[in-house]
Order: sequence, then C-alpha cells, then structure tokens
Amino acid sequence: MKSFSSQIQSFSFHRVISLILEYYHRDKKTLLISAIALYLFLFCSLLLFKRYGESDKENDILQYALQVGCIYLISSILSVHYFCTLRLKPGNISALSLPCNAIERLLSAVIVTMIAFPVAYSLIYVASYFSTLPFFSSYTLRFYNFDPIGIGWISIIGTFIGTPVLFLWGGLFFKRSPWIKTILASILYSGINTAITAAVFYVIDPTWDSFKFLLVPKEAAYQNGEIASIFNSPFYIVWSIVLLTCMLLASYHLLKEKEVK
Amino acid sequence: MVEINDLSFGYTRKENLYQQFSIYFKSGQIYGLLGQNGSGKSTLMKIIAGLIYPDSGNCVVDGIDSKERNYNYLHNLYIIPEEFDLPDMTIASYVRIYAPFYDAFSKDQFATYLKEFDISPEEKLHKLSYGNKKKVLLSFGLATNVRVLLLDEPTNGLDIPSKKTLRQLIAAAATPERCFIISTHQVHDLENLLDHLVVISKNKLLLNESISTIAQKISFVPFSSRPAENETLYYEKSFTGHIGIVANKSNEEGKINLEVLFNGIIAQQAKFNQLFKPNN
Repeated sequence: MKSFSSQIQSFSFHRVISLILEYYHRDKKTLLISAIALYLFLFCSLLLFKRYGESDKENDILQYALQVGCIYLISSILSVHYFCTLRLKPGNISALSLPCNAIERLLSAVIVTMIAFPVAYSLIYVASYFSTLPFFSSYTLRFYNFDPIGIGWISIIGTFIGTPVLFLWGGLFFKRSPWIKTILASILYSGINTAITAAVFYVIDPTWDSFKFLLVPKEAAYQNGEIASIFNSPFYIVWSIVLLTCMLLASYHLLKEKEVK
Repeated sequence: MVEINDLSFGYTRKENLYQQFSIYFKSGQIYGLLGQNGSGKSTLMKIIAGLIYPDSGNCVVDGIDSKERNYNYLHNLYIIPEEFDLPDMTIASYVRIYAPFYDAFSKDQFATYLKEFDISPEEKLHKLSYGNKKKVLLSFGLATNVRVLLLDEPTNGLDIPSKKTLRQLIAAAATPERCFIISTHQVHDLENLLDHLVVISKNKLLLNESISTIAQKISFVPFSSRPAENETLYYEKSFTGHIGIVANKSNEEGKINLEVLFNGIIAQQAKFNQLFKPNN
C-alpha cells in the first residue's frame, strides 16, 4: 500500500506519454506494416462480402463478425505483446530500469490498447470501406452502432475493453506462449462469466430451462432482446467492472514485481 | 549512497548466492567490483538497479528501498549491462525518446561523448557493431548524469583506443555527488581509474578497501627467482621471473597490479583478511 501511494505521489502523465512514444518508435515498422496488411484484408473482405453476401441482413452480420473478430484478434495480439520487452532477454534490463512507475507503464498500455487501437482500427475500417465504394456504390457502412445478433452494444464495448485487460495480464503472467495460454485462461474467464450469468438467471427463474437457454440460446431470444437484457443488466455490468478492475490490479502487481532473472 | 544490508538472495531455494551480505558504496568514488565467474557481481548490480529483489535484507539508494522501484528510485540510476538490446532506430531518435526519462540528461555531453568515440548521431543502432553499440550506451549512460552509474564489463567489445577514451570520460564525469560501480574481469583496462576495490566471492566480501589504503599496506615486488613462502603474501610467475605481494613497510604508496592482487586475494584469503582487518 505504501508502495502504491509512493507511485501515485510521483505519478506523471508526461512520462505516460513518453512511454507511449517509446512503444510507438520501438515497434513503428511492425505497427505500420500491420496497419497496411489490415487495411488490405478489410478491403478484400468487404468486397467479397458484398459480392457474395446473399442479403443485406447477411452482409450486416458478416461486417459485424469482421469487426468484432478483427478487434478481438488484433487487440489480443497487441495487448499480449505490449510488455514483451520486459519478458525477453536481453532487452528486459533496459526496459525494466527505465525511470517510471509501474502504474505509468500500465496506464500507457491501457491508453494504447483501449483508446489508440480502437480509434486507429476504426479509421482503417472506414478507409477500407470507402475504398470499396467505387466498386459497390450502394454498400452500407455498418459500424459499432448496430447489433445484428442482439447481444447489446454495451457488452460489445465491454468486450473491446475486456480483451486488452485480459491479454495485458496474460502477457505479464505467462513467460512462454502467452497468447495461447491467455486464450485458455479466457475460456476459463468466460466460463466464470457464464456461471455468474447462469446464477443470476437461476435467481430470476429457478428452473433447468434457464441454464439450457444460456448454453444454447434460441434465435428468438436474440431477436426479442432477452440476451441483450442479460448482458446489459446492472449486475452483469457491475460484475464485469469488478472483474476487469481485479485483472488490472493483478497486472499492476505483476509489473511491480517483475524481475530480470 | 548505496546501502546493502543483510542481503540474502539465491536463484534457487537450495543455493544462496548471498547470505547476510552487507556493503556500503559512498558517493564521489569509482568502485571496481571484482570476482570470479559466478561470484555474483552482475547479480549484485541487478539488485542495486532494482531488477532483482532480495529474498531478505534490503538495498537502499539515497534512502529509497529498491523494492519500491518507482521513478524516484530509478531516475538517479543507470545500468549498462554486459548483454543488451537496442531498438531499431537512429542514435538521434534513441536520444529523443529515452532522454526525457532522465531529468539531468545533457544532449551536449552526449554529443561530445559520441564525438570522442568517433560515432555519428545519424547512424542506425542496429547497423552498428557490438562495440559501437556499447559506445552509444556508455555515452548515453554518462550523459544521464545519474548519481549511481552501474557498468557491467564496460570495456568488453571496445577497441584499444576506445578503452582509453572510456577511462578519460569516466574520470572526467566523476563528481563528488556521483558513484560509479564498475564490474570487470579486464582489470588492466581500468587500473588507474578506480578509487576503491571490492572483491567478492560467493557470499563473501574478500576485500573492500580504497586503492590508497591498499597501496599503503602492500607493495608489488619483482623476484628474479622463486621467493620463499614466508617472504611474500602471494607470488606468481611473470615474464621476467616472479612477482610477489609483500606487506608495505615504507608506507609509501606504490603502483597496484590489480591482476596479481586479485589472484592473491583469491588464493590467500586468510592472509589478506588478516592484513586488511580494520585495526591493522
């Protein structure tokens, strides 16, 4: 606690910015190449969806899957590798002895993975969408403000925040193959979330149907907003915030205790 | 300045590298940290830099415990490790990105040091040889003007003129507020630079004396033939015959042969312990 308060006292946002710049300049080439590759991938995917999508509805779902899938995949890779210099020899000595607080390091990661990345990704998505207009002028841009499968967009934002939180933790916790191991951990995480949701369900409707409904939701449940009402329920939101806060605290602790051995 | 109290540390639970180890490094001194391979020199440096936490005991720099490892602890400390990895960028970019973390960093000094080492700031780091990368890192470390500078094998990979330049730069950068701790096996490279000598062996502090005290207590004598056992504290073969370490009776400070001294301390620990006892 004393350590935490001393970190807060010497906190500097200027150093957080310096850490972000340090991250950007260190990985500039990889980031730029990845951005170009992503743009091309999104552009080709959007073209294919429009060309072969049977209906507007199907096209919407494909766009949605593309957005969420890419966000999840890229965000997880970006987050799990954010602190890779602390993990890999011999660069870890220079990285860990850089004068800054653990809390500043964590905040820089949060800003990059939860703010800068979604913004950059959205810009690339929009750019690739506009690039398809010469081919299909009637193409409708579907963005985060739609919800074709009825999960509820607050939960989608939760996923966009939850993914980096989970993978930042994974990148610090697992020394080898952190991405794969974090995926496995995230399955466990999802299991816990499902169990909690099921428990909430059971309180509302104490029958076996509630569990069955959660495991194999009927399409109607998405359509009439039942699923959205679960994921957007205050309890679920509060629980998610508590879980994410715990994971961020765990990441802070791992950063603080990181050693070069 | 750097205070290590009752330090215990081991990489494994079975084997402790340090057990109840204490030492104090004061400001205004250039320390030479000597020891055999695996004696724990680099580990000690990492502990001071807050990169490894002691199992028990503590390491305090300017009143802050290394376990804090916050900005206040780290901004007055710079470590140049033996193995390092520099990012793929120009030297100028490197300075632009990393210098803001050090309040007292001097760009002018850095430019001067680079010039002394004959390196252009426009060069790309990943295209430089190991020795030239090390020169950049040494220049950066010196230009940070931190109070505690830790150098692990700084002369490894440097060419002969650069070793001389490094000695000159360190001597010029040393101030009463700063403390340099240099770990090396290349003792000849830093022979006339050190103010204080620390010799460690696994968990043992074999010697912790100023160069001046050492020079007052011992002298190095050449022998044309092998000296008698009781004639010297230690002797070894040299190109011209033998060289021995004897107790200095004249109190005049002579030149110290660090390599012979180190070998002597390792071979004759009891004799040197007796000679360098506090009241002796």
